[in-house]
Amino acid sequence: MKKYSVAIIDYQMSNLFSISNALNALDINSVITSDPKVILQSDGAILPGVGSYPQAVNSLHDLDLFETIRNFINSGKPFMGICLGLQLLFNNSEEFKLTEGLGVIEGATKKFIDKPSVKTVPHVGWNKIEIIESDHNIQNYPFRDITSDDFFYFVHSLYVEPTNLDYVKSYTNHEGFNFCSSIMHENIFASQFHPEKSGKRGLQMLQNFFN
Amino acid sequence: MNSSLLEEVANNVSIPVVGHGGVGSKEDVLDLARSKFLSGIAIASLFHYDFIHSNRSLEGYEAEGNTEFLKSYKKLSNIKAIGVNELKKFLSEEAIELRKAV
Repeated sequence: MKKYSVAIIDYQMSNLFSISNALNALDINSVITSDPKVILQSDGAILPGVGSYPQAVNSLHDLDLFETIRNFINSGKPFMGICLGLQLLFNNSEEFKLTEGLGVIEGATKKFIDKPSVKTVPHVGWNKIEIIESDHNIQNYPFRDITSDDFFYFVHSLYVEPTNLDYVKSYTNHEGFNFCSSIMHENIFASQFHPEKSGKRGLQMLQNFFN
Repeated sequence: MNSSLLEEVANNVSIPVVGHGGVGSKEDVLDLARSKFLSGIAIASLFHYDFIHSNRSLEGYEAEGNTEFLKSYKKLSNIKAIGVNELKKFLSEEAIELRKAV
């Protein structure tokens, strides 16, 4: 019987090994790959991301991964987006220039610097997440055993604004501005923070989602 | 730690500023944490001198450079050393929000 395996989507700009190490620590098999066949055959997938939106979109197009990602999501298998991976799911981002993303989740990606109360960009460091109570009974509920007192690691200059607020699963405050720090919709869970860089709680979240 | 210099820098840039160099006590850390203009505080000596003082065994550190210094369990008189978890507890009790000791 084939072992449970998570595909870590490699589009040439990510902290792939941090994620792979995190999954190794949890004894979850994973493979770093840009091969559509391997991705689609996997039991779960992670779209990571460190870097700029326009470059990421170009990279995804060059590697022909737009359709593969959409197809994987349509398969219903667990799909996790991290940081830029969250933002790429949306319609677009205003980073550097307005760029279209995957459009799997309705909404936009906006800049912190345009918010009046925000003085410091990027938002870097440990911060809390205010978890919106939701369906704990789903099998792979990411926030099981995680509370609003737990800290997660953030490093980003833009935030997402989902059109459908029901998708928002946590809010986080940066210098007086509350932004969406994670979303969930059907088989998709995506966070602005990095679970693979968030210590024990982050590992807990990965374990909850890919069980 | 020159906090007025740090404040001047933080007020003049829009990027995160981490204060590094010179905290001599947990009270120094508390003052900086309360000030809110820093995004982070980097601490070295405060933790290092606590570590060498509370770790009596040099097992595993034989290859470290200055083992004579490590064996001396010296303290610097102007530094009130403290461990990471103890510092977190102290700051937490003073209502500074931070990640719990792991």
